[in-house]
Amino acid sequence: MLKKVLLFIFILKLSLLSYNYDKLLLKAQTSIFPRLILLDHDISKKTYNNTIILTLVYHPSDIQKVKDIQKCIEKKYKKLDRYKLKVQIKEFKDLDESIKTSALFILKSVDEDIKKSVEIAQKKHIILFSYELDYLKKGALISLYIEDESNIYFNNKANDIYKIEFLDIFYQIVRFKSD
Amino acid sequence: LRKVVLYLYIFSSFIWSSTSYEKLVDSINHELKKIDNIATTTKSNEHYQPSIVTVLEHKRLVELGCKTLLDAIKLAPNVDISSDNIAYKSVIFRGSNPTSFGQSKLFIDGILVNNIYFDGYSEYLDMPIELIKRVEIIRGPGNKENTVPSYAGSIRVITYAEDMKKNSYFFQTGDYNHRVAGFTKSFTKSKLKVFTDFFYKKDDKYVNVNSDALASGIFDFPSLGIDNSDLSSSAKVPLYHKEYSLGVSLKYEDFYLKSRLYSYKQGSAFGLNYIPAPFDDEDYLKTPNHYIVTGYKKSFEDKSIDIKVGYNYNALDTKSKLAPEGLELPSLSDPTKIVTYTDGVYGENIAKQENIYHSLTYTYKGIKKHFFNFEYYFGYTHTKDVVSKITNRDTGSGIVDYSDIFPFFDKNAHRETYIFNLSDKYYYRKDIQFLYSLNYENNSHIDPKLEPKLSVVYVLNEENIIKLLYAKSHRTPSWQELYTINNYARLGNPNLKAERIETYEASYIKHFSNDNYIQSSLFYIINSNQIHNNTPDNMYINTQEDNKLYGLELELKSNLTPKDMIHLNFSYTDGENTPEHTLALVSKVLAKGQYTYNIKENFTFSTIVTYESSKERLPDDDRDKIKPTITTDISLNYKQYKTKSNINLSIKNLFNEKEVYPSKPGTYQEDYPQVGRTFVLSYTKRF
Repeated sequence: MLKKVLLFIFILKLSLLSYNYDKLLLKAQTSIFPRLILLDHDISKKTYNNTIILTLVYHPSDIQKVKDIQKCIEKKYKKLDRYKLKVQIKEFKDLDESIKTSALFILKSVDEDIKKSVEIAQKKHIILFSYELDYLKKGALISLYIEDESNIYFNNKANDIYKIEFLDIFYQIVRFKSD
Repeated sequence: LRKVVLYLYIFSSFIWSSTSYEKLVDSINHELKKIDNIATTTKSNEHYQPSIVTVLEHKRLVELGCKTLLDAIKLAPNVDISSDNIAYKSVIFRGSNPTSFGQSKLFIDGILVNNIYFDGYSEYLDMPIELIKRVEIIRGPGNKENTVPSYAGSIRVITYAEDMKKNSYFFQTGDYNHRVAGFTKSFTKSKLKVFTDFFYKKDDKYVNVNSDALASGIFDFPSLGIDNSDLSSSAKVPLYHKEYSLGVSLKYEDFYLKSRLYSYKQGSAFGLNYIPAPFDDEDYLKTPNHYIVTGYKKSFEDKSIDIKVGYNYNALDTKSKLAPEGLELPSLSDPTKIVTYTDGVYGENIAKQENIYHSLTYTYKGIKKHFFNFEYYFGYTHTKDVVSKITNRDTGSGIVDYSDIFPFFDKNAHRETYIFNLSDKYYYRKDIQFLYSLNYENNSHIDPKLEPKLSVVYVLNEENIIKLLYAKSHRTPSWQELYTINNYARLGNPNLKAERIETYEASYIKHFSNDNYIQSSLFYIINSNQIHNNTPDNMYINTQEDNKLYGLELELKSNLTPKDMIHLNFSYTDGENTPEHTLALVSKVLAKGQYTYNIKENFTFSTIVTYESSKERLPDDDRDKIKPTITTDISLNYKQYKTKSNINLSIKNLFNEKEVYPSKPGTYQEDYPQVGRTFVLSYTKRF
């Protein structure tokens, strides 16, 4: 019984904990990712009433962080080219195929959540951005990483499943990274 | 006609959209460059830099319960601290010459603050963490800043003046009447930006000692039959602090000004002559350290220029009772005669120094794959004033001004310095970059030095990085080492040569994810002409033979669970740092662990555990070696987003481990004890 109680407390504590994020990396990603959506050749077919919807997907412990990111993107981008931009937030557990979105941006979470997000993005043929470069190994499509200089990484192999056609110019600014 | 119009429409749309997308890609590239600049400036891409750097951010330091710059520096790998009889602290990198102050350099917002007298910066180690945005700790001489050659390591402190935005006020309170209050404030009017920071700090720290250096016979003169050892007594040693600082930074278009008034006052600790002043006396040791720099910095498309002039003022200013009632010493005018100081010996010593300099930095990126940097520096340093007042050395009573006839410091000390540096960062391939440089320094104290540096950074892929570094550098002797005269505790030597260093370093970094990595470094150091005063008359001299040091450093940053953070570092240093080729006064093994547990997004628990292995004594010191220590600090941090406030409670040295700094042989028989467990509560509010 005691073991169960301790395990329950441990799980409860874990669910309350929050992840660590690099401030500059997040700033870079929130600044670059929305613009990359425009390089999806078929983005016009993935808009809703001429609005591009970017969904930030988060673990409940990151609620404050995700709200900050949402505010930051909304402040920077009122519009994306000729489209309006809407930034919405969604918990991993509430994410499903019915979601109206033009792209997903996933923050940190457990493997099951990442896997689920990848499946949904692949089915909907929408871009899946990830904070973690490592998630490209788990099927995410695009990430940004700061090395000596900042690089945008593109999971070209996974795009065989996403089947997203990018404008030629997109390939000039990304580095390929297969999962 | 319709077809033609349709064709023109489609064609023009195509042209429009191509241009639009090109603009979009241009804007992305522009944004990436901006991020790169920030990353390079803030060392966020530290692992790709041609040096071995540890970067400590404000947020992390606050969570860990760090209260001062010293607390932050202690976290870095292979960094140790030494302290002396006046509690003047020095940061020791890789076990290199622990009795020398200037082997590491401290820069505050890019300005060197090592003071002229000691070539140290102990006063700035007390700077509150609330003013500090970031600390960059560079091991090895492979970094150069503002035309100042580094030696064993350097520390860059970046305050909130960097972005001139933060408005805040803060308080700290703790035991030993520890009190701190301060603020940061920015103003903007049209093109003029102003940033100020201020703090006031005080505490009443003390420690107890069982006996002072008189017991060791430091002031015995057997030939005259003088034996002062019976005067030795236990004492309460004054380690109090009273300090304040006002920093003002201005920016108007391409012109800038950075200035700081830093007033620092402390108790004379274990005594200027190894005898503590009575605790209730108004003794003091002041080391004010002020600077002002103004310049013009302009960037063009492929070049930039930064011209500046600067002024530093710092001093050593002491006033205390130097020895107890009844002390006997030989008379100054007739050394065969014995003088008895019935009321004790009182002394007041002041040495004021100034440095004025001009420097220019020019960068050029006009040649593909190259980034050239040229710098020169001209500086003039001199002693402005010397005061030596002490109890009459012939009668033993009454204070006499000996500033002209028997000063403690050479009034005519001065130095001219010329430095030229040329470096090139060469991006040979996307994955390989070289940095090579030549540094030439000539000053009135040393022979001209031409020293190279070379580093290679090889990025195998984004997960694996290899660095190789080679550098030569030197340290010009400090004022204290050159010009102290008529003094029992230390004696200058104007014939000292510069200390020299040659290092070989290799580093491998493995990234597991964005925040998880392991870094391993190997180093081999050849030190020559090391300066020390472990001599019978306490005169500073150079070692005659090379000292070699080598070792290993490991750093791991990882999440144990996906939701916490652990940062471990381990270092092993071996070799020699004494004229007798032994490794003394430093720990061979240093292991430091930091763990942060995010109870909630705004509520963290952190702990720092530090292990220092035992320290060997100097060869002529037969005392037992200094015992190893394990210290544990804990911290609780609560952040309230709505009110933009932060509350932190930290307990330093939770288990009250006995920490000591080694005393000089022949002085105190015990080592210098430090205060044990302390707690500090701090509050910061942004507005």
